[in-house]
Amino acid sequence: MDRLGNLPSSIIESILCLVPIQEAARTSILSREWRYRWTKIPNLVFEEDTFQVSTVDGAESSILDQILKQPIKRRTMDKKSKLIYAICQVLLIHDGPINEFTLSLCLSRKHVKIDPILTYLSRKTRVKKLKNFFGWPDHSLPLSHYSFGYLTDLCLIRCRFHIPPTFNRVGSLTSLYLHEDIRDPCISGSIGGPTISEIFECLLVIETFSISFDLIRVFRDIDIHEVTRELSTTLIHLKYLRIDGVYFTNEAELSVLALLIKSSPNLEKLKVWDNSNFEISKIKYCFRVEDISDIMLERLNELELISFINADKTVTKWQLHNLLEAWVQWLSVSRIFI
Amino acid sequence: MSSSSSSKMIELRSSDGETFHVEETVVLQSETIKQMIDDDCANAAIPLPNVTSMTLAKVIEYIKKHAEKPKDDDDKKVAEEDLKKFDAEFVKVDQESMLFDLVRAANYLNIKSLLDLTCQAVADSIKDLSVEEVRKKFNIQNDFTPEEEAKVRKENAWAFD
Repeated sequence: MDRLGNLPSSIIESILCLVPIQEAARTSILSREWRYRWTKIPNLVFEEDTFQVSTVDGAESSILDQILKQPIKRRTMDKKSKLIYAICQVLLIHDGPINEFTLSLCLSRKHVKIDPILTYLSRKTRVKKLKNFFGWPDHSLPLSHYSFGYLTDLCLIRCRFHIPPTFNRVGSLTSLYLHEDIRDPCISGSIGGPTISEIFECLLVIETFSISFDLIRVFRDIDIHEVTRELSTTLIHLKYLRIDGVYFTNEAELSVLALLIKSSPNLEKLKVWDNSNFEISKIKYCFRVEDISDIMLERLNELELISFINADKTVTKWQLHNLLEAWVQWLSVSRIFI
Repeated sequence: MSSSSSSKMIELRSSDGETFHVEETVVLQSETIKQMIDDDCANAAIPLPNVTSMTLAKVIEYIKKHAEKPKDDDDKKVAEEDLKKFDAEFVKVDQESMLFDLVRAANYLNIKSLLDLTCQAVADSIKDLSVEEVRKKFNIQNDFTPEEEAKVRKENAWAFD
């Protein structure tokens, strides 16, 4: 008796989602019954790090080598190209809904073939969770990235972020992660980036917002020091706010932080990472009293403040003191990490 | 809901006729049973024709452990660690058939955390096995002809690198 095969098909799909996708696809040769089982898995994860390729020689071949070997045979492709090829193969044979799509791939210019894949996914599937990790220096995301109508979770790592008109047009996004590798920033400038209002007007039901860019490189209004005092919408669903990369030395950035906190009355967890590597004498700004005086955060139960300059506790404590003094309500916070 | 509901006992009957008494608050982790209670179908013993007494005892051990509430925040961290250890030990069952029985029971009783835990355990047991090893482990008969198998292999060549 095939113990595994006798499980309900939805369970088999869940189990196959929990092994790397290549292993899942290898179940196709177990038996006739198993041939197409893997093609129904609803979560597709493609990660360069765990993707197995047999030939290492291809990985080193330059684009010139590849052109000279035209037509490119799969065996001579480098690992990244093989991964992209695999995605196409999977999408061609896949059967049924795709709920989650994860792609973790460091792209260089010669591999910019992702756009058609994302266009296909956005048009032909109802993907709810999209997680993309691109090392794609100075490259804007293809517009297709923003036209997933059913998306609830979007996680973008090392991608330049723009807000096109189609973004979140059905307003279903509840979770947005925008992250870069702080040690290796690859995004430059916020020219053409959205203003803070533009982003949050698209995110009416947002529950989790996590950003680890230098804010100034994401929001145009910080760059030009014209941060709005009020959002046109209250973020009543926002429960978790994490900002890694506030410059406590920058007045505009502090205004953004205050604005977000002020606009999120139901916040439960707040995590702020101070990014400024400053000296004490340079602190000129703290929160303006009028920015924060009417903030009530009755549901906040976890507050975490992290400073890069942990060695200098006086600075951190100085900031915390200011925060606590301004927000008396926070004294009910049950967990504070510094 | 009445005020005595916290100590109310629910009676469950396994497929082989054994009865188990479990606190309602504990058994509510099963969406299936919760639905029955909500529909007022839980006055007599609830029959669970798909779950043997051996499996049901394991399931009850699991939901009892997961119903324990830490007293304060300090306890919370310790309790989380403790629960992780419990889960890891829980899926180390002597017989593999028990793991599959638990998967089925968790699915039937609709206990999501137990289903996730047991599916992960099955996935972990498959990981890194060759196709032949998986066939052997789960007693899967290869009914492909060598030509057919070669064809399927070619069809999914990207997975066999």
